[in-house]
Amino acid sequence: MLLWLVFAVMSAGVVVMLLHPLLMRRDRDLATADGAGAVYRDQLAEIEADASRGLIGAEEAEAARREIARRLLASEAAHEVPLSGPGSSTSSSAGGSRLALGVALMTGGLVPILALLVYLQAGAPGLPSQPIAARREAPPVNAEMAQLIGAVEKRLRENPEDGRGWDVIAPVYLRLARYGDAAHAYRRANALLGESAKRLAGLAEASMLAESGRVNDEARAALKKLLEIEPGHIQARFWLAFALEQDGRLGEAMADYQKLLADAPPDATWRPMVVERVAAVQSALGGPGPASPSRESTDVAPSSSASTLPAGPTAAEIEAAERMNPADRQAMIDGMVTGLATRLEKDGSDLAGWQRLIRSLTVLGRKDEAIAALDRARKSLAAEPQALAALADLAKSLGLGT
Amino acid sequence: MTVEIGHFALILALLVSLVQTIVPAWGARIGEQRLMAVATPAAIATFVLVLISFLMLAEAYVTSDFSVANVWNNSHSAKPFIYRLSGVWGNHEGSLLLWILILVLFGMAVAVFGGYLPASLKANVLSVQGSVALAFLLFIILTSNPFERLDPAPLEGRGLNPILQDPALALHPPLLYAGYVGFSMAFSFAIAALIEGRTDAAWARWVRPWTLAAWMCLTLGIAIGSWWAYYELGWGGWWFWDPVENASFMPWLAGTALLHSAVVMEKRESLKVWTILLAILTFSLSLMGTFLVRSGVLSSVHAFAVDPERGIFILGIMIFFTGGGLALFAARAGALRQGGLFSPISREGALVLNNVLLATATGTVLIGTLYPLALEAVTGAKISVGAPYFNLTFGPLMVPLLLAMPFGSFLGWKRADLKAAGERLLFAAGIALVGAVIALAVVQRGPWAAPLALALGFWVMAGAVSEILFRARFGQAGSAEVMRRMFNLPRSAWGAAWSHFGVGLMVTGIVATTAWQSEKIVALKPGERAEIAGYTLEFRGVQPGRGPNFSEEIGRLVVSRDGQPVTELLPSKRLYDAPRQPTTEAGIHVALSGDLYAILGDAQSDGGHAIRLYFNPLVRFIWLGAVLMFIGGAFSLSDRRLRVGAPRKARKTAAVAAE
Repeated sequence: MLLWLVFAVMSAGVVVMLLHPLLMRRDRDLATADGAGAVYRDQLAEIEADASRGLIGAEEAEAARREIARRLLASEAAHEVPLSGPGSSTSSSAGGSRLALGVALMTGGLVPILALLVYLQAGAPGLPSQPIAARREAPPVNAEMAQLIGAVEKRLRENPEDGRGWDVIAPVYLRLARYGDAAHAYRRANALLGESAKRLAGLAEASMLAESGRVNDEARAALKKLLEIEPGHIQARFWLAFALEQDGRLGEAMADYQKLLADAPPDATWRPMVVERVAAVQSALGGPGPASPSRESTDVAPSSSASTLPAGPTAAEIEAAERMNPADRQAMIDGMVTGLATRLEKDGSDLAGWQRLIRSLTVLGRKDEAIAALDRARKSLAAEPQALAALADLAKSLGLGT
Repeated sequence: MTVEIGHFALILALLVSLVQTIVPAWGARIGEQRLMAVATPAAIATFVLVLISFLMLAEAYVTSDFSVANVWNNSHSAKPFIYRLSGVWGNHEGSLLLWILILVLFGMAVAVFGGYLPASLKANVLSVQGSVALAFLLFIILTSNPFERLDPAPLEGRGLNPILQDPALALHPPLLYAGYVGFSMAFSFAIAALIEGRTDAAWARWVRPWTLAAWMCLTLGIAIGSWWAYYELGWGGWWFWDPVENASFMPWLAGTALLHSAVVMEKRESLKVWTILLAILTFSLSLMGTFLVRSGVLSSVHAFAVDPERGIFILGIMIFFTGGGLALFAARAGALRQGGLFSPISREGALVLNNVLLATATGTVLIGTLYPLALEAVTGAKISVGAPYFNLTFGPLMVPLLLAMPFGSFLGWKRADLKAAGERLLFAAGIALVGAVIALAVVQRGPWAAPLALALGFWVMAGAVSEILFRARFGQAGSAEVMRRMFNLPRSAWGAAWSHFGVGLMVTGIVATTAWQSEKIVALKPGERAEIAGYTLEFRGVQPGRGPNFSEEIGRLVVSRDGQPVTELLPSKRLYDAPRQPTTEAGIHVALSGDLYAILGDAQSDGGHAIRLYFNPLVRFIWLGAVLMFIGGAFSLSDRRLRVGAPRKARKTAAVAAE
């Protein structure tokens, strides 16, 4: 509310400033008369001063005086016939006033309205400032944490061969989003203490996040070693499949994802994430794939709607999205939404999924699609009054009509 | 909330600059006072709004508000306060906002201090200025919005390039931009003059302070950039003919020419058409500099494709203003009446020579900068045009310029006596010769041309001194009279002398450093010694250190000369925390006779360290010269007098008849 008040005051101030000269009565402006003449008269005065101080001789002064006098005459002659036309001196009359009033009305109306329209397109009025100090104050643990990190860092500078120190600090860096540092720490810990499943997984995650979510060579190597140490490690399998997807080897990625799904216990929290990848790969491959994946997703759907709410993108995915450039981020978000939509087309009984889809589409500004999704959800869930009520609430809160 | 206020202020500024572009120009066209008068409050409002916007972005940087994408991309909460602040313009979006801020600051200055201007000229000038602001505000809002938000906000920022974490970042871009953008004033005045069809001595008088202020800022900005590259990049050089450097150097050359031709126009009403053209070209070169640096076209032509939107947008702005300006010039230049005549040997003639040489020099730099880009765009071949090209083309052009420079100050307006001027410069010529002989005797090595080039520097410096002495009638009048005359000299005369002296000083510095630099690469173990240029350096090993956001290895070198201890050099290698990047910090011993410059290299397998040593004789003169040019400009700017060309030789009857 305060924000809009500030905007209003700013706009009003600007409008007042702009309209002031337009609405003021102005008879004849003296300033036009003779700017150039003033310059030449000053020049003449300077000649006198120079001559009296003896900087130039009397004859030189006389010659200069004559030249300037000629300029002065020329400028005055030019003024009698203004370039802008003969009507200029009389236009401050009634016609001029009406014109000024019209311009004033246009300016006063359009400037604030257009500013507001552009701002509504580009701005984020609901988002408060988030200075780091305020965010650090929120959990007081953070201050201690910072001290602790400082102490460990100091010890590591003095004794860089301390593998345990690197091992302790690595996950902390990771949590603080200092991915480069985290990858470095994991690398050192792996080298000094030997490779363990935990450290390899950490290294893979940190170096991926450090590169905007790209599964780079270092991460791939770490994930492969991780699979040697611990065959069937879910995270490793998932990210390796994701790496295949990134390389454009969609078929292989799909096969790996499906193997993962086949091995997944029905209530696994990571299951929806894999399902979404499957859907995304499917749509990338062009339309619904072979029979098996669609059967797969129909198998999956009831269990996911029966279990806890789908987790949505994991923290890691969000982080990855944040680190991407805007175009990639948009592509990733679009991929997720499309995946979700495809899944719901096939199995419409997942209320939470519908809710998420509608919300996402609204946030993305694709309001028409959101409304269409709302209609489809109502049709799919027509037999469940509770679900319909929930949808109605959602629609109201998002302002999607009744 | 503050971030959003900044965003809204920026959008409001866009709309106000739209009003500033249209309404006053329309008013000037139909002669309606009230419409013209809108220019003043509009220019003030735009400035206030952009200032609010800039302050809000700065606030987000200082408080590390990572919900702002721009802050998150370029800052880090562990950075010291000063770099969090200067980081505001250490990136594409922020530096553009600074560019616009300075642009509208100039606009506001005209609005507030331009009361003496005829109303329609002022309206047209501010309208053109408003259109430049409009173009860049559109650019920033559409393609480079610094107020884009992230939700949820990341925990920590990505940090600023360590090379930019330096006090020079606080000064270099603002000064450079003040120079670039200041030339927009000359442009706006030129366009307004073409629209109104008025170009006279008074016009030149009104443009002068703006051009001069811009030129001063650009001079200092380039010098600080060169100094920064010298101590931070660790190559021991001070100028690399890098395209980014050339991008700032071209407007400087053109601006210097403009400054001199505007003097002719102000005093004699000559060179009108050329001055107007130079004003348009100088700003076009500034725009091109902005385009080259900001579009990414420079690092590689392919960077263009990475963000085609931005590059093409700036290219469009550049084409619009350059093309529009030149088209208007072509249409109206014929209507401009020519002013006073002059003979080739005269002050005017000397200034024309200055302009011809400077314009040609600008052209050579332009070709050297754009040719590789064009070639890469067309054939894909990557070539680099470096120092050899510029030394062969730019260097020879500077020789006649420097030779003629002292003559120019001794020639009278309209027509002059070259022989008399030569006689008055005998003293300066003597000094130059003696200086060259002494240099040859002292150094006894290096290229044969170096002492001659050095003599050029002495010649220019001595010429500047002789001019002041001559005008004060030194040697002809008593000392009290000489003092009185010196005080009475116009400040613009002092300004010219200081600036010309600065040029000479810079030339000596450049020649000495280029010809007689010593370089040595050694591998030293602790306790071992190396010698360079008469200094003995003893290596005392390497110690770890820790700064606010970096860890470093500091090498210690104890310097002595003839057994006397001189100083300690502490070159270091830093590794920054975020982003994790190394930098080298040179250890520099500063002395007027030359800098001792040490860079710590990598550790060797045998426990030693590679160390690069340089001795750069008289290198400080280069930047000192630039500072003198700045001071000269300030003198001239503070001169309230309105200069008039009084023909010095008393053949006035003939001169008058000639007109």
